[in-house]
Amino acid sequence: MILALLGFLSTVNPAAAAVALVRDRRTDRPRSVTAGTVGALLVLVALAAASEPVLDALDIGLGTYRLGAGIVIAMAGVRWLVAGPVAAVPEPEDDRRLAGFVAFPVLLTPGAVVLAVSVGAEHGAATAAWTAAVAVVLAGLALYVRRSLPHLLMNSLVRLLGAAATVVGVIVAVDGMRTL
Amino acid sequence: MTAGRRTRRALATWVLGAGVMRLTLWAPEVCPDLARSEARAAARAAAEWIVGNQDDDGRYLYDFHRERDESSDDYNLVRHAGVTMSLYQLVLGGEGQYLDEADRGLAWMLERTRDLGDGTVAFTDTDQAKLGASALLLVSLAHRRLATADPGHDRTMRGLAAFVVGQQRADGSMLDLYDLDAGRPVPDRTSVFATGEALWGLALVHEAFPHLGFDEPAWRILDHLATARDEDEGIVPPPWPDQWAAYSLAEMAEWGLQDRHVTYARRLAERFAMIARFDAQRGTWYGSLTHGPAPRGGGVGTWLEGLGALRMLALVDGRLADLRAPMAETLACAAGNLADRQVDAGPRVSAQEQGAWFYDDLTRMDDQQHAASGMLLAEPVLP
Repeated sequence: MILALLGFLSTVNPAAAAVALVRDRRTDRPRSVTAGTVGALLVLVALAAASEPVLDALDIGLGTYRLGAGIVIAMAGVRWLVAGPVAAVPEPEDDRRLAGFVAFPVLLTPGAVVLAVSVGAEHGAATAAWTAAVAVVLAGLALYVRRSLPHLLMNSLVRLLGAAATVVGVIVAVDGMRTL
Repeated sequence: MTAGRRTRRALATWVLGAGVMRLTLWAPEVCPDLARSEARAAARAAAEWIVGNQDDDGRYLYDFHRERDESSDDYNLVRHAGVTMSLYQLVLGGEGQYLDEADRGLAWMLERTRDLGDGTVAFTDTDQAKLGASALLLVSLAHRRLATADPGHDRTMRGLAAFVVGQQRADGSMLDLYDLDAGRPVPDRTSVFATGEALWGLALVHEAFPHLGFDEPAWRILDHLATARDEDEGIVPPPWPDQWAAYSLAEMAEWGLQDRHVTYARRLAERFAMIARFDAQRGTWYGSLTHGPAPRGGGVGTWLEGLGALRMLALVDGRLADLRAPMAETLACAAGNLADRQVDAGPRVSAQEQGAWFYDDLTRMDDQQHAASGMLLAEPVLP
């Protein structure tokens, strides 16, 4: 459960969300950010709840899935660790586009999506839901209040969470190798 | 860059990444259906390859290259003993028609045993005796005894067991070779194969002669395997997928295994299962490109033996109860894949091909040995 929480925190990476949009626009659209956050969370919870059908559709066992998921998570973590955050982009003018952008690609990262299925299959949808909720809500909040967060600190935090994601990825992959 | 462009780039990366994952790590695991009767038929066909190509003196056909239509002059005593052991497993499993051929294979080995003094016996045809050869001869004799209740070779069994014990070092590890001229084991040379074979031999001997104390050296080997062998031998990732150790653990299931032994058994099961799952991913049309060619029949057979033996252990040891169902599922899957790759009978299929498993057009006697033994162990989990 701790690993699931740490996994979502590191793969959603709230620090990366905080620096995903530029700071020079004085827009204040909490509804769009909230909609994007809730949308991302719903997708993760749905994937966790549908983990068994997802594995059946892929025709692979949980061990094989977790091995691949761990590698995806670790690769995404290494990317953050080495290259830092992706360059910030201007806020989309349209409210719905902003909500969509917040959901994807900012909050629905590859690592978070593959982790949702893994946690759902191993611990159940409820655990996946609350651990993902903590990370996604924190990330949505960080994105919304980004102007008041120290930029340099956030950039460093992106790399730190990237390192955490790398470790989580390795743990998930090794666990996958050991799953019967 | 705009948000829209970044979204499109992310989407493209996702699609590409998902495709790569699907082709590689998340390729489907293909598990052909296999009925219990079909597994038995596959084991029988493998045994027919062994006995159908056996010489009158008991020697087996070592290998056969179907493209070149030839077999090599190579031979290996350890593999001869393993093939004979497998035939006795079949006899024990109800295939009594192979007893004569197994006994011929046994006679070939007994002609090559050497008395080392003090009742110690080694199986060798050179001035160096391999531990694995004597250990698997011992295992063959133990299976024959179980299948026939004939005590005629009890003395040889005890002599071979004494030889095996003589190869043991203080830390429980086993030396692989014995120098007959020098009259002592060759120092510092070990084998990842022979150690497990020695353990199984001693475990079976203790079951046959419980008063002789062969359980003590057996425990020391098992401790070594469970706690030190992988590090000593530099096995990465551990543990070495040792089906001989799995057989031994199943044999020792009622001796009172310690938690460290059960942990080792669990790690072994995980290792066999991981390899078997990877092999199942070769079942797609592109599987051989992304996962390499299918391994030797003998290789897959050892996974079946390992999983089958550990499943037997899990059935009697509650600490492994959670592994029963997943091991059965993986075992059935691997057996289905192995059976799929066996050469079926046909008008143009020679006796050297029928019932065999080929890798690069070559089959070797231990391919049929391990596959036959593995199929026997997989039977209980099949419909």
